Amino acid sequence: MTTIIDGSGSATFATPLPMAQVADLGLPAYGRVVRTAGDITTTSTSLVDVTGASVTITTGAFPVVYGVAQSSVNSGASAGHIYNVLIDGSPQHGTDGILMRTVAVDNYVNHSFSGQSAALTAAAHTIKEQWRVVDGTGTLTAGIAAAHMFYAQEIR
Amino acid sequence: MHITHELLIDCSAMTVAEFSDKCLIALGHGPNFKLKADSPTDTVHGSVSIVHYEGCCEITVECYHEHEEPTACMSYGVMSGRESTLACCENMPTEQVIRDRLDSMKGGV
Repeated sequence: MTTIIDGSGSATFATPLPMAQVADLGLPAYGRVVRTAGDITTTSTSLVDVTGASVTITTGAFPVVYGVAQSSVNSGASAGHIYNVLIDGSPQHGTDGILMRTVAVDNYVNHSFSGQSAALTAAAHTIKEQWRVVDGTGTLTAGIAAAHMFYAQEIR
Repeated sequence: MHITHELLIDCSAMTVAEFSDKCLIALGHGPNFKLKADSPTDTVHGSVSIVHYEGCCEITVECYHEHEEPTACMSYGVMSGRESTLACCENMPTEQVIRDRLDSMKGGV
């Protein structure tokens, strides 16, 4: 009988976890970048790195969850921004990415998103965010008043 | 293929949007050297990405050296992919010209 206690209480499992798996259980790797140094703008219609939004963690053979908390605006009233996350260069949200719209000039909107990878190999992995605009000039807030946060955490 | 130029320029006296626009103008943004798409299907010759640090900015100018057609396609009535065309500029400014244009912004833009 195996009992796992977490913040919400405890759960009891009738089937014990395999010992090999138990032996391999360690603290999950995680990393995050909180950018407050200054906003980021781009006019690129092809994907480019979001400056600083990159995390390298050494994982076991497990998936990772990642996410970004960010707000954005475009010089066009209703323009599109595309976002993607690359793990070791491999895009996680299709060859292009996730489309999000802005609503009005000078009106920042929430462009946060999250995702989960497939199981990775046991090794060091670099996870980073990319973005592009459909047109116009896109701005991501990354200041003291409205920080940009990018994070990744192993699931184990 | 992309070439990236990076410089540090004082931009403490203006907003993020103002500096981005000034930068495009200084770089010669226009029909013959387009660095910003005016519509989703526009043809662009490059782009400008800026990190607006407090008191200074880090500018990255991309110039396309190869022609790349749009990658967009219609799927279930929804357009996905890049609709813009990445074009090699016929009169591509040299690396030095781009540096000089950025340098012209030093000391008050």
